[in-house]
Amino acid sequence: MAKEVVDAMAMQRALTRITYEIIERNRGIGNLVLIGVKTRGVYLADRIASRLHQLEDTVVPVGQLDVSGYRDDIANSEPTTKAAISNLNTSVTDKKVVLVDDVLFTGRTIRAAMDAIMDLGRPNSINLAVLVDRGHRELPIRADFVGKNIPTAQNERIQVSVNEVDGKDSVEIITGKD
Amino acid sequence: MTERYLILSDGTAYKGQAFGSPATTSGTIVFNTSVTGYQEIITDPIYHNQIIVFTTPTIGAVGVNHESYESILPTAKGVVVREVAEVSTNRQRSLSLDQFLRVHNIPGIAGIDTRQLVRKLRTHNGLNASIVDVADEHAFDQLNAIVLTNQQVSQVATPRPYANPGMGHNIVVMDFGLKSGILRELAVRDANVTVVPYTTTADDILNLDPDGIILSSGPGDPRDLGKDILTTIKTLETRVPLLGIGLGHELFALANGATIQRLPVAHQGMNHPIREIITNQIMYAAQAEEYGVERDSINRDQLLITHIDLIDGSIQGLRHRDYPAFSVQFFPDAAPGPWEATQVFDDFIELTGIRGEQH
Amino acid sequence: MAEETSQGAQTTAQLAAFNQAEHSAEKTASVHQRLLVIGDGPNDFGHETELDAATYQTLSVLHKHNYDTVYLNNNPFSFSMENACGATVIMGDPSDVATVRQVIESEHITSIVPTVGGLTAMRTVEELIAHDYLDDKHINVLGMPLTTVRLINNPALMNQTLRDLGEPVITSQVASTTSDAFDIARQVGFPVIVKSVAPRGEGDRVLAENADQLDVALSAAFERSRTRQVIVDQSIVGLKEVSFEVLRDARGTELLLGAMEDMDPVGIHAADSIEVTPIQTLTDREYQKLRQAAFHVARRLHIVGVMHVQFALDPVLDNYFIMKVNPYYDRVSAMLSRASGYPIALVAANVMTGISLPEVRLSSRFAKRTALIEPVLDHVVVRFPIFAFDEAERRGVKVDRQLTTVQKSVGATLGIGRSLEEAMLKAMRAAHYHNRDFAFDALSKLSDNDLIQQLIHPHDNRMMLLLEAIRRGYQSDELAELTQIDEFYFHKLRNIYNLEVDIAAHSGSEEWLQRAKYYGFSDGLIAQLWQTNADAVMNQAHTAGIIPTYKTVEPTAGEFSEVVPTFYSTYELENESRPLADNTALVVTTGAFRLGDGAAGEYVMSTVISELHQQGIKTVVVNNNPNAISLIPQLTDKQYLEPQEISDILGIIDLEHPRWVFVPGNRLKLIGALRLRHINVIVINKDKASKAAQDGDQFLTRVVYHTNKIGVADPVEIAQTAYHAPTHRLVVDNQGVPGIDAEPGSMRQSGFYNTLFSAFSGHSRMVTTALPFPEFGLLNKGTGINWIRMLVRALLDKTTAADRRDFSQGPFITATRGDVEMVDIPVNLDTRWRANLPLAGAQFKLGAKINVKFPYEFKIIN
Repeated sequence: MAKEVVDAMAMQRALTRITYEIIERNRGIGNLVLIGVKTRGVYLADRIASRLHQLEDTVVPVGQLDVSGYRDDIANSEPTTKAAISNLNTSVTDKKVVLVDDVLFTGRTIRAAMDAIMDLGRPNSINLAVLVDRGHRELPIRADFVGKNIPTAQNERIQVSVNEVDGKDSVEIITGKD
Repeated sequence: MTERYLILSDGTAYKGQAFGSPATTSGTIVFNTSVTGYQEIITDPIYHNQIIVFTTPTIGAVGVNHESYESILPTAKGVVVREVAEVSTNRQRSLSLDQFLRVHNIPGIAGIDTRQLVRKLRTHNGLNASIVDVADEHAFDQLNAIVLTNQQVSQVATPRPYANPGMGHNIVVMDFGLKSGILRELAVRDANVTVVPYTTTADDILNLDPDGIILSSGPGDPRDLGKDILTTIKTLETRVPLLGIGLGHELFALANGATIQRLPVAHQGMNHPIREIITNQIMYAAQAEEYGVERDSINRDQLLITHIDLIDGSIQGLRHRDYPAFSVQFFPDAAPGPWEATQVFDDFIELTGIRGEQH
Repeated sequence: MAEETSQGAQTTAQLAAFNQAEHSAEKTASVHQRLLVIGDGPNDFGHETELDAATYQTLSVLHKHNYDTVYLNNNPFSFSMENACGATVIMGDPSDVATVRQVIESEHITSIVPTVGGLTAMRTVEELIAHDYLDDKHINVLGMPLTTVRLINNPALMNQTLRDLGEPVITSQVASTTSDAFDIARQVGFPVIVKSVAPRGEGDRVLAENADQLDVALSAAFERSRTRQVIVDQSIVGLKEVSFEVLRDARGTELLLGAMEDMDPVGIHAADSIEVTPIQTLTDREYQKLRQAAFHVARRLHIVGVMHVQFALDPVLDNYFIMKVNPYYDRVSAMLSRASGYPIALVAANVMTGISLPEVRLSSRFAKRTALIEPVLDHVVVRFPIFAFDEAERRGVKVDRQLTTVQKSVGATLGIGRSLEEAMLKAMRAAHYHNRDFAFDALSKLSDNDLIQQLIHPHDNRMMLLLEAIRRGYQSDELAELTQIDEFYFHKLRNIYNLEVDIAAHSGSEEWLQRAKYYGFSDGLIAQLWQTNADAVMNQAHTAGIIPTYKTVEPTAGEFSEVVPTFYSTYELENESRPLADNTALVVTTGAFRLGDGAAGEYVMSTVISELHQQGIKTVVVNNNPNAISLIPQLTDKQYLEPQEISDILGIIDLEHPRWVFVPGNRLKLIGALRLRHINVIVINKDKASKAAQDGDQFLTRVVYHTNKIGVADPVEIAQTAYHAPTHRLVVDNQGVPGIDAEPGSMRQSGFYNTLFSAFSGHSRMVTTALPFPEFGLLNKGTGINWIRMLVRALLDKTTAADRRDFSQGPFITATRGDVEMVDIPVNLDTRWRANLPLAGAQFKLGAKINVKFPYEFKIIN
């Protein structure tokens, strides 16, 4: 059973709001770097970047973070590979990094992501933007920019779809077996 | 049918048929190109002291409905149209437009070549006009001698606060000539609303512990409202999420250092494309603009331009860089007007919600 | 504008990616494609020349953007096939899947344009999809995804899609037992409509308003069904019918192109309804709700182009149903385009190729960014249907004149004015061009009982009936109740009636003449009321200086300075129309479709217009047919959307002072009236097809030019044709037909003539008539020479050397591909009109097609 909780329009609005909040929080976008968590977080980061470009006529670098080794929705799984950042042609040192992911759940992916960023350099700050915060944190991690808080049960799944890969924009709650 | 005249301060006179009130009135003459929504338009307080020309050939065909009032007591000075449907036919009919205008002392004049009139008005901004029984020298003298007030807001805004309760977010609306559509949209979102006079101080407003503040639309030139209000806005925007609409948008711009100009041609209608810059998407909304924010005066370190009108390039939306405060020149309450504009209220309520959670 | 520059600077790959990704999966077209535009096929009921018009505009846009385009059609009256703007034209049947496949393969087609070929083209594409043909060949469809094409042809799937979207549709359920059927009726509420599933013989739809009626309807329907099942539909008869037309681009920008309401309620086919734009009787809330719903559907179906949604609105319960979704160009698009001046077909063609709405560039006649402005009107437009029942009854065939859900009208007129009264009266008199049918007292002898019956079950003459009811003292609310027509219209009709009484009481009054004109009364009507003749009224108006003022039909209600050269008349202060030039031709077209050769008439007159333009002559057209190709602004320098009565034409002539007035040959009264005033009339000779053609007849076609400037002996024999119902054949294998002379004096005017002879009966039945317009379709398409253009050049003394060669090559210019056949398409008028006898004869045919054995490339010398 899939139930749509965020439609295309609402998703666009959430990303728009997050973009404005990023500008507000960082007092501008001069020193900004966006890092999207693969797969869907990258597209979300791209969309935020293009919004920033629309508004400020400035290109904000977007990096891609591969954490496929870290499945934070599978309990007790050990990382098989180390998280790695690609496609970023700038240093993160002294930058204001905004990490972008589709869903914030246990927080383990984000911890791995932060490790990977720290490996590359010493950013001025790291903020976290997520489209959905579904609760059930296992680490002391909090998102700075949240598209939508969707409280969920442990046995439910959140399915974020983006047009680029899924052909539609939506957030659905999946219950039962898929 | 009684013949009456519409006379303009440039010396022209138009003969037409009277409807509505037999009163003789004067005001600034403006035209509106909306096809629907005549009742909402006539009752919107922004038309205080104005004579409205409808370009749509017929008005009155759907009568007067309780859900289409934008104020309780309309204060427009006249209605000019090609023809008026003298009887209401809508299911909720309670009054015909003719009776309604009689009750509210607003004269109407029909049988006018409104197309010719509009073609004139689009190049002659800010003409005054009167609806009179006789178009003689005396009538023109009176029209030319008239001094229209620049204190429209104080004449239409509430003198005392009142509540429009709901169970949701706590919203304070500063009334500069509030139209009901704003309250309707807040009610749909279950907001707990307090409407306060526009002269209320920042402290008094903050004492209401608002989650968000709306600066309402209203009539006239924002520069005539005095500096105190700008100071109030300046204080409020740093403390609470804020949304300015119409006149409220112009005040928000003034408070943040921009300047306002009178537009070469007033624009009233709902068919201009408005681009939301951040998403590059186009929407339509009701607009009624005589003044606009001067683009070059905007301090880009403080304000972001969020919306522009693709036809005349006018600024249609601003946002503060450092605070959750934004404003729109168009009317997002869709009363009348396209519904896609109402998402401005969703954005605002979401903003207040997030701040609320962070307290 | 600063905004412009920042727009221009946004060209990073990132932004491009963003635009494509977030703004839908619709693909944008690349210029390396080879497009196939699927033609509209033969004209038919409700299929006039609006698709030909849209096709011509679409081909011109594709040409402008350097697309490589192929156009497939077999309609002999297609203007676009002869003026294809650089496209390759293939003569072949666009409704035949095998033909389309053959063309796709031989022409290496990569994309298909289905949106200007009507429902026929949509069906063809659907069949291609059904066999995975398009997917296999990697061919895409412009304007919408394949899934949407599938929905259009599958009402059940469409309803399910709309329901999933949360948009209300009419509940329609299948029942196998009487008790199931009653369950459904209880659930949806009475009235319901009962239909048989898989009926034996003709399908039927029976309205049941209560349990008793349902019982009866069910037993009949079960009986008739081969599967012993019935469909029970929620009935929405009597609700208000409105249409909204939206436009959407590949980036998701949506705008409302216009909306119109039907004066008649649901239950009368929209094409048979009197339609009005802008919307008159909806509140802003209702209007915006439907606008939103139309956008919602367009988004879901990923439309890139135009879409028209038809709604049934229940003003009492404040809800609506979606009745129809048409994501392609249709008569509503044509009507709204004419009504507002917004160039719908041009913009839709741009958008279809992936150009976003802000990027659409229109001619400098329009204000900047007109494509993005939602059109608003400062005039009222009424569309008035034309019925042709009288023709049948004159031949002794009884027809059912009651209006139902089946379209019975054969054409429509459009009236524009500054009040509903004016627009209505103008549309009505354009529809009844014989004043005798349009008299206020036409129904005075009807019994009260019949009157009430016809109010409840309206016939084609309902406007006269409603006026008669008002005359007899019926109140507006009573009438609204009986007819389900919004009370607003009765106030307007009452106004017309009151004016009629007042005008009649003030015979000869200049003041009342002025007022009558202001509200749209014609000279003829005023003359009836004053018991004088139309000329007298016209002269009085002229002397008194009561002359029409012409206003622009443009989409911004006067807000912007648009120099769109489309005008309508009214009687107000300001006239906006300025005479064009010394070198001007006024072209009176064949007007609204009635029966017979409407499409051929439009085709011939549009070709005349096009040739005049080619000759450097400024062209002005007067027409009132909303579907007419001759009215599209690309063809003429100026358009008047006006009735075509003598005074209307004279009003335009007084302003424009044209050097020539071109008139089709059947407008005898007009020709006479103009000649009487020493106006230079050039007649495009024609005769009705009905006089001609019995089985086995053969014709010799000749051209005559009386001042002999064509340089060869007059008359010239150019072709021989044979008729075997329903086929007209161009004969090429003959040896000439010696000894056929036209009867003396039968070819008095310059033009084309047919001399009938029967090869089998020794030329005994020789008759010479002007060439019927449809035969031009056969001649031009068959020979690849544009005879109409040649005629125009000859009439203007501008015959070229090539023309002389073509003329002198006669007789019997060979067809391009052996024998060419034009086949009349059967139109089931009998069924539609429930006629008691078959309707035979050429005037009961509406369209034709060119039969080809194999599709071939069609080229024409213009």
